[in-house]
Amino acid sequence: MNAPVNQSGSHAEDDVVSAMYRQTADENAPDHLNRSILHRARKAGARSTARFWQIGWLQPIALVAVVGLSLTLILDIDKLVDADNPAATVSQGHNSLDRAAAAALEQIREAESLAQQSPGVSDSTTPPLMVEQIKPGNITRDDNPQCNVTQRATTALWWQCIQSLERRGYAEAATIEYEALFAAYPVFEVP
Amino acid sequence: MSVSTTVKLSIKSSLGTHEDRAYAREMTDNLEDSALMLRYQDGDIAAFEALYRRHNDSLYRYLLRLSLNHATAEDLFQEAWGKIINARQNYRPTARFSTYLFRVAHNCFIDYIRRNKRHTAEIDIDPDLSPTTDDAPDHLTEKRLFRERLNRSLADLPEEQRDVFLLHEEAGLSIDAIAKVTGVNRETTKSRLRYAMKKLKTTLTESNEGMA
Repeated sequence: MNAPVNQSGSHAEDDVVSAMYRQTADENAPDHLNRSILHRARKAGARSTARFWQIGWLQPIALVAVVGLSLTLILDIDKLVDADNPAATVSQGHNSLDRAAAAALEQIREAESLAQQSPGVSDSTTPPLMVEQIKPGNITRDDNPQCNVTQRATTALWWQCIQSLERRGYAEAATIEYEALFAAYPVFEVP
Repeated sequence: MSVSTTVKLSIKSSLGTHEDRAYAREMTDNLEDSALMLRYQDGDIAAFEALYRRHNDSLYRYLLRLSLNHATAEDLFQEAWGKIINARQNYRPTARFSTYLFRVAHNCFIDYIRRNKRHTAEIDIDPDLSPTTDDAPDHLTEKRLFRERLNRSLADLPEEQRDVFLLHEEAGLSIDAIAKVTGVNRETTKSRLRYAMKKLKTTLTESNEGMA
């Protein structure tokens, strides 16, 4: 039983048996089986190719959808954060409100000058306190004294409104507005 | 292998000229089994055809000599390749493809034995099956007789030993790979192969001497 062992680990007598086997066992798979299996493989392969193309189109669309949804979510979160911090909203809307207030004052001044220049219109028709009435502090109602959005648009208008409230005796309202002014503009220096 | 390359090659092989098809076939013929199987996963039919051409005959002979029945071998052959085709998306090249293929075929045979408990190793193989046309008539007769003896010798072997011998000869698997396919340890596999070789050598030599 101690036959010589060859390089592959098998014995020399095994090689003889293998050679005898290979000489004889040379049958091939029948053609009808070959055709049947290759047909089956082609059908299955065609199905997977079709599925591949579907996935190929879906992937970029899905990616774009995910990116779009993520951006929407991020913007919504920003809006929610802004809503929680009104001071930030006021400061963001600062420029537009400032412009609106300036435009309103400009229009009133133009109206006053036109009224003064027009010969057919007497001075008595021109309300002398019109500009003054628009000025901060005079717009708010007495039962709920506070500065409105236009007055809060700039630090200067807001400060004028606070002073106006103090002058009119609404010390408590003036204090609340003063604290709100400093919350919105922490670096504001009292003139 | 990128997906686009596979698609291009598939289109090329289906629409191209004869030279293009020959080129595509040469390319696939040079690829390893596992690479071909991965390309088939991506829908490359030519890759599967190349893979099938490499293994169809050896798998058929394995099942034919294991079951010793022509009809059973055909059924099991179709079942095994069907499983390979259906499970192509789950294939991972962790081992040689031949190990994977013959493991599937081995399991198909084991299932068949369980389903058909009356299965006996009665030879039902036509010894004239697929004769090579260039054989001379006297050589053909000699071959036919030897094939009959081989089939009888294999039928006399216990099923486990026959299985190990055929995996060694037809699949070209190592002892470790056969152990993996059959699910037994290395030493058992080695001893089964040794006994099979010894018995076959004895019976085939005796037959040769008897004929002489």
